[in-house]
Amino acid sequence: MIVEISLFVLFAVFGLLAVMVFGLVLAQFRQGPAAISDLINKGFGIRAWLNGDMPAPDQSTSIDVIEGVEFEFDGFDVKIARQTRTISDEV
Amino acid sequence: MPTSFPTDGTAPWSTSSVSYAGWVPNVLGHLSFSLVGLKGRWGHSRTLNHTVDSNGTRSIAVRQNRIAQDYPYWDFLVRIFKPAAEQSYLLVASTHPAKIPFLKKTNGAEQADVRVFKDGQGLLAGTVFVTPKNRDKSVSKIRKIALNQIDKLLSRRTSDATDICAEVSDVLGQGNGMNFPSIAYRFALFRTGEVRIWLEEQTHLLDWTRQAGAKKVIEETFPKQVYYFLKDTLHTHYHHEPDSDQLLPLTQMKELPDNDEDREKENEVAWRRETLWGLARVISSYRRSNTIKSLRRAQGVLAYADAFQATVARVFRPATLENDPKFDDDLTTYDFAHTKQSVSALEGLRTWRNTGGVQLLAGLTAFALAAFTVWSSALRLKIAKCSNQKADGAEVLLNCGSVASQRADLVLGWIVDHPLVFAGSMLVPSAFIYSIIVWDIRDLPIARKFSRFLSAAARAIGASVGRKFSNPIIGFFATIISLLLVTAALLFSFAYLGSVMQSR
Repeated sequence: MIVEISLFVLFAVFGLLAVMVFGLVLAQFRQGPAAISDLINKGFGIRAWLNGDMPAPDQSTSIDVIEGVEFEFDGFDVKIARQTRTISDEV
Repeated sequence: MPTSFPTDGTAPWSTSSVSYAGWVPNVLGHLSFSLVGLKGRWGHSRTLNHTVDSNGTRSIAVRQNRIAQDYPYWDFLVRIFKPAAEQSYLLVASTHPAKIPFLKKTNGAEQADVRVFKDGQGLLAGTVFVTPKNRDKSVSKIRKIALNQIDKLLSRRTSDATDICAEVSDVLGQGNGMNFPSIAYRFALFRTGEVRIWLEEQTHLLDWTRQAGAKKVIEETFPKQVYYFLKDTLHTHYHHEPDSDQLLPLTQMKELPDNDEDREKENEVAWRRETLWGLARVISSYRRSNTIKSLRRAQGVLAYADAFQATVARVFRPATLENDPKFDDDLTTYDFAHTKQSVSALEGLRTWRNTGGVQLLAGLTAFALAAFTVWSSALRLKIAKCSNQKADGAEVLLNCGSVASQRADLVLGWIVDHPLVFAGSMLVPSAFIYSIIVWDIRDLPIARKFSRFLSAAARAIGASVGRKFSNPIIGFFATIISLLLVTAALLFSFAYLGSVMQSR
């Protein structure tokens, strides 16, 4: 019985995830190519997504972009000093 | 002392070459320093906030490790692979008397008067120590010991602390001063939310602040992070995602030569104008999204914009501390009342559409249930009609081969034999219809992280492909195809699990 119920839970979860991802496809269709064009202009891409190195936006603030810092010392020498940036969850 | 603040003379931020001004949003127009402390998503944070004398002077220390949220992986992986992305932020501050402006318009007067309230605890002044990680093991050990000691101090009960600022300062000053590198940002936060952040000149004398790459981050990037940290300690993110707390700008002030009133005015107008523009930009962005959630958020931000425009936007604080804040309306203000009406109208329209969607869903559900019920009742009637009861109770089927159809046998047999597969199969189309008509299931808290990860990954692929081919339409289709591939993989897993369940 436990196996049946576990299988059922997995079955339902995969189904719901499929619905959710298909929802993302529909959301992309609703936004159209303009959304990708906007991301290209912002400098977003695979590398920026993986490393958080999106270039600075044109505006001083935006709900679309989040920022962080990488900074590390070695004794009293600065080894890494970098602004990180990526698209926010609002996009 | 990291919490000292002069009572007269020139404001300390105005003499610094690295100085910023901004606003900590508060809808009431007055911050409550007794509520300074961290809530919400940030782990590894500790706060001790207590009064130290009968005047109500507060001594506050807050420490937390903050980690950059700009990577697609979990924080624990970022800590392992990108240790430089995490820094310790320690706030040490105490309250001081300050002049708090408010506007009062007397009957018949053309413009409002600035009145000043001398608030005994109107200013929270102190220092935020940003302490990045250190590769040097001995320095790293000293850093760790000091931060652990501070955490212990902050974990005590409030009644056990004498003056938390002095106690934390003692830890920082142990041995030969600070023997691990840390960047000290001074700040002054007024009760109205007006905040000043600056670097003291002696910071520039340290060798490492002049190293390549470090200077820009220390002078431009970290002040913004200090601002986000201050906002995190003082407010909850009701109207935006917690990671997106960069909605408002921190404006850099130009250096202020002695008695240069024009430059002073230029600075004061600049940060208030940038803040107003920032608020207006957020409202417009949410308004354009045109979803109930975004429109509600726009209304929330509008309330903050109104609060800012009511007082802080119309008053400027002179660089000489003895001088009272002055009325200043040389700032293009916004007509938020009409924006509010427009946002409300849009929200009403959206709600009306959603209500229609719910009614449609209710109708479709009723229709599906009614159709199935009628079909199963008709089937029962057919079976009842063709069966005959013998005297000994045994049932005999008469001509049922021609009455009960093969299709009915197949459907009913499958439902009876595999109730869980049937339930799961019904769940998926129901979720799909619900998701389209009523509420996006991507917003479910469990699904949100997964959906955002996938969405960002697909768009990153799309943007890269679009850039490579210099054509966003190709990028758009790359995004769609990558998402469809994931959907197909999930549907395949779904079907495979269904067949496994059926075969058991």
